Amino acid sequence: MTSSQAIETANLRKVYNGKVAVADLSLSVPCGEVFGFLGPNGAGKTTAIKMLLGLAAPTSGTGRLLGRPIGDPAARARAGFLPEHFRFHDWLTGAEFLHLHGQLYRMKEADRRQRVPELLARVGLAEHGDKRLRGYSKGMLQRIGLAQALLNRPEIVFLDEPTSGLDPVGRILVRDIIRELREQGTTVFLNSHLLSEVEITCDRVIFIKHGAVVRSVSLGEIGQGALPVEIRIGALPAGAHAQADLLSGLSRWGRDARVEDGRLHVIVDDEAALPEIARWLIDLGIDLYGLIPQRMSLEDMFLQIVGTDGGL
Amino acid sequence: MAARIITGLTIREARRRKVLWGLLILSALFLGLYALGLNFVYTEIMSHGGLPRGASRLFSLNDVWNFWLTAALYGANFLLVMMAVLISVDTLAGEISSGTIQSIAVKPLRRHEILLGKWLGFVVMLAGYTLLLAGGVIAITSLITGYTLAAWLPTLALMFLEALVLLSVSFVGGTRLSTLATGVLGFGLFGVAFIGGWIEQIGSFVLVESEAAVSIGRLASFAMPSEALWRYALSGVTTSRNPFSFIFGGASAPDAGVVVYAIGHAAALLALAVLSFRRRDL
Repeated sequence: MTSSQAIETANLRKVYNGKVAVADLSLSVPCGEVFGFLGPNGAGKTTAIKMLLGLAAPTSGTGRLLGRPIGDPAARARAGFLPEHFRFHDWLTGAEFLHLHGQLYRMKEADRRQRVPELLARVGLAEHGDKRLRGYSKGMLQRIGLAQALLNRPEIVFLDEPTSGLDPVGRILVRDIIRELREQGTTVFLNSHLLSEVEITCDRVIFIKHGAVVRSVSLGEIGQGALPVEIRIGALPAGAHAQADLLSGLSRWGRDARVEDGRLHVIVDDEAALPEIARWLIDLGIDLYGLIPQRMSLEDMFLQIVGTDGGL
Repeated sequence: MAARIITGLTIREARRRKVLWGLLILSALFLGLYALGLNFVYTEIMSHGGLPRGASRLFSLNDVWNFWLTAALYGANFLLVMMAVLISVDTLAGEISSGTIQSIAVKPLRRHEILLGKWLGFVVMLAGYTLLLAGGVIAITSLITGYTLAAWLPTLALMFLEALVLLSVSFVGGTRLSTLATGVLGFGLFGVAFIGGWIEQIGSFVLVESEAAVSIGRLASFAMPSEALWRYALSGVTTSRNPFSFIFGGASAPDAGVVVYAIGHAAALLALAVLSFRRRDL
């Protein structure tokens, strides 16, 4: 195990009263990575975070956070956490709340005096620092929770559904903050099922289902490898024989060539096949209206990997 | 260090949520009523130049003041144990069930620091409450009648210890149970000790003398020494001709061992709470 890994777990398992929440989680997240943790509801995402942060003890398996065994307070001193339900001591004002958590991080008073207003401003609550959390809206609570997670300039930040209570402006704020964290070299562990958000912000995602890693994907890889292509042509050649010829011709560049709704479909391995297919079709005298590569979105991938049943 | 932050937070929460104000105002009401009543009686008796002759053969003026004092301390004691459970019952159970504790527990502090920090916060508040309520009763009695309870310090200390036993029960419950169930546990055990104390008293009464009843009562006191502590405290408060002493102190007063036992009992419960909280998934 090297300390260049922010998170390393081996066969982490959690069973609550006979119910398996996390079955067998082995993952490693290198320092500085913005990491997306994806899976359907009940897949064990929150439980996994709780184990990493020492809130829940693993039934079996081991893990390290920032090079230290999970549960070690020394590692938590360098971590930040925005919980899923962001419930805080609501009788405190926003500023008091941040000061309290700064104290718990053992931050010096001078440091807190500088950091608290700075973070209040960063999350757009500069005007609301003197108001009690009881009067905060859901979105404001999530913002103050985010500020709380960043107080200690953490090396790793866990964000559990950080935008669930936020409006579009708030979501952009979270996205910007994640981008800043990435620039500072902070590791971000993002738990979300807003796939578009994950797609924009994350370097890599891991899909989990029934509490185990199903697949790890670098987001740069999406769109590489299998690329479905839809081809719109004027009129399909008459006769089953002619159509079969056309499909077997297409199969030179890829697989699964088929006709669907009057359009041709094929899955190619490389984008370079696209102009070649176009040239070939034109040479055959076919009217080509469109040759559209179908980029696979994270959502397609999610459905493909996790299944439409949501893994339930 | 971290525990001290939590202690401060606990006291600040009680203040902010008007728990402290509530205790203060109700205590003032309690003490005010007591002072008023005692003052009327004192003025009445003194206007006749003391107790009637028939009565003075049976008991002295000090016995009368002692009776008043005991009755008020009885009320204060009941309030104290109730408050020990009431003000602390939600601190763990509530924060666990709402998830509020999560953002605290992921900070670089250990579970026992959270628990002991909270516990200490309530210890400070209950010490103040004991001093205010029971100390107030003793002081008012002394100011109005001139009768000062000699054993005022041990009495206050014993009542405080009784509150600590209840507080520790509330903490053990809070690590595993809901707020409501923790409250039920605290009051329930107090009730068991209470009825056990009565069974022991009646059983040891001269006319009854049932060893079985005494044993049952003692067993209840082992499970929950709060009532035994109170009776031990009373035995140091009541004068021999105070009717309270016949009911509570005289028939079967526990010996000083109950104090040692109760301290051990509270400490063991607190240790159990720490162990239980350490393993609790939040």
